[in-house]
Amino acid sequence: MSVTDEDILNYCDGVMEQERATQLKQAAQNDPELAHRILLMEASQLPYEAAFSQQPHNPALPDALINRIEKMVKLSASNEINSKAEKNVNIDSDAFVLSRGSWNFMVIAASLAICFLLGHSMADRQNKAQLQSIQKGQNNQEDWVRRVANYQTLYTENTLVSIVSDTEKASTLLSRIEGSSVLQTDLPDLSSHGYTFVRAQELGYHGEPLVQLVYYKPGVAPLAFCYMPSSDEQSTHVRIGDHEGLRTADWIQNGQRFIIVGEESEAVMQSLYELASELWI
Amino acid sequence: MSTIPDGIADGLQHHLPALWRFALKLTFSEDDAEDLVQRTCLRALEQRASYDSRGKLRSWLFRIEHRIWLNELRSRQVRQHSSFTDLTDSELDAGKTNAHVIDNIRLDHPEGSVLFQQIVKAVNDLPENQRLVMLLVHVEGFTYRETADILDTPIGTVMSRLSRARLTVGEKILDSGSKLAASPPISNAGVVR
Repeated sequence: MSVTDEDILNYCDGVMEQERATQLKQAAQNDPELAHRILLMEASQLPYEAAFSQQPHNPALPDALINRIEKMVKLSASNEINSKAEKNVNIDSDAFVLSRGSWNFMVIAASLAICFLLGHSMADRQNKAQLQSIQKGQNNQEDWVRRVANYQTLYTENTLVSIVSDTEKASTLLSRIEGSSVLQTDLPDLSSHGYTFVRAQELGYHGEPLVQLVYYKPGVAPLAFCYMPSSDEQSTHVRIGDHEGLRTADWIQNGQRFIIVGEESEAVMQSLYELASELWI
Repeated sequence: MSTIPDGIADGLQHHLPALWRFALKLTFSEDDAEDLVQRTCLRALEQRASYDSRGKLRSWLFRIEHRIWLNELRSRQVRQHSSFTDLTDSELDAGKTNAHVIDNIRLDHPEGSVLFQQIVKAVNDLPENQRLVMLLVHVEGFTYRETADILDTPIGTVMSRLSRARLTVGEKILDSGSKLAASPPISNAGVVR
């Protein structure tokens, strides 16, 4: 009689059909090795749940974590409501206090916030026609710029110092996005301005892919370079502005909209724009 | 006006203790566990549209948490070796360098049951793939099918890993000579539905 470990498991746990269980029991009487395996399996019938739950001094669920999750849920709900009403959203930055040994939580929080605020939801896809008309026109570019810049304020230097740059992974991501969308992707090298590439993420805006590249330079706020498809075919000159204490440089080029958000002077933003825009000529 | 389904908003906070416990067992680090739980909740909120309310929220959340942790282990491996490959058992085991930090510290606690300590140690000493199956089935109480879904692996693989794990644990317990004859058998654990 051929008996697998799974058979013995089912037999010992009492879920084997009766006829086969009887056969196995009889076989074990003449097979010392089988009998030993059954003995081991029976010996493993233990109070696992009690053993793990009653370990003394298991680290308790931190109150700070509970509070952050509560605020996260509230923020998500309010962002979804406000994005539908096309209103500005006031972000409670206390909701995303860095945890110990940060695991780029703030990056994810900001990305989530951008996703929610920029309408990455089934509800928004259901209103695609209305959103497409909203996307047209300069007011929509300004709205996009404002929203991206607002949430860039969630990034801090401490968020990124623990992250190891992975350009290979980023290249793989960008290749995938390019292969599955109309986007022409690239990864600008900003090292001439002292920036190190940190990570790439694929976000969404009204159902369209939005590439977010984050760069790090000691002593200044993290810099974000974002781009996505544009419904405007006409290219625009770069506009340099201020939002929430950060500088922005935004433009439309070859059917894509771009924005750089960082803590730099106008001259540096202009230079960064010239460097990046060359990749999409 | 759409809002987050009550099931997920309430469910996140309801299942937070279970997510925390599992995160500790995955990461063996309080800091990593805290970040893992946060990322899990963020991802759940991001993907709330994909949650099928006919399914079980708890197993859906555990699936997310396990996937995030696996991706983190892969990222750490890529940073170390500059290549991307599927994690082997030995590489998963290497991820638990602090395997005994949380549990062994408590093993010396005078109030801990000797058998309970040996059970925890025997499970934590298992290869990672087997350890996870044991935790999900016999500690968290998931069925074989739910466990297979959480780990994104065939149910046959779950049973194979579980049976090997149980044999190993049984052997360790017998070798230690501390098996209590009066211990109740496991009931309804991992019953396939």
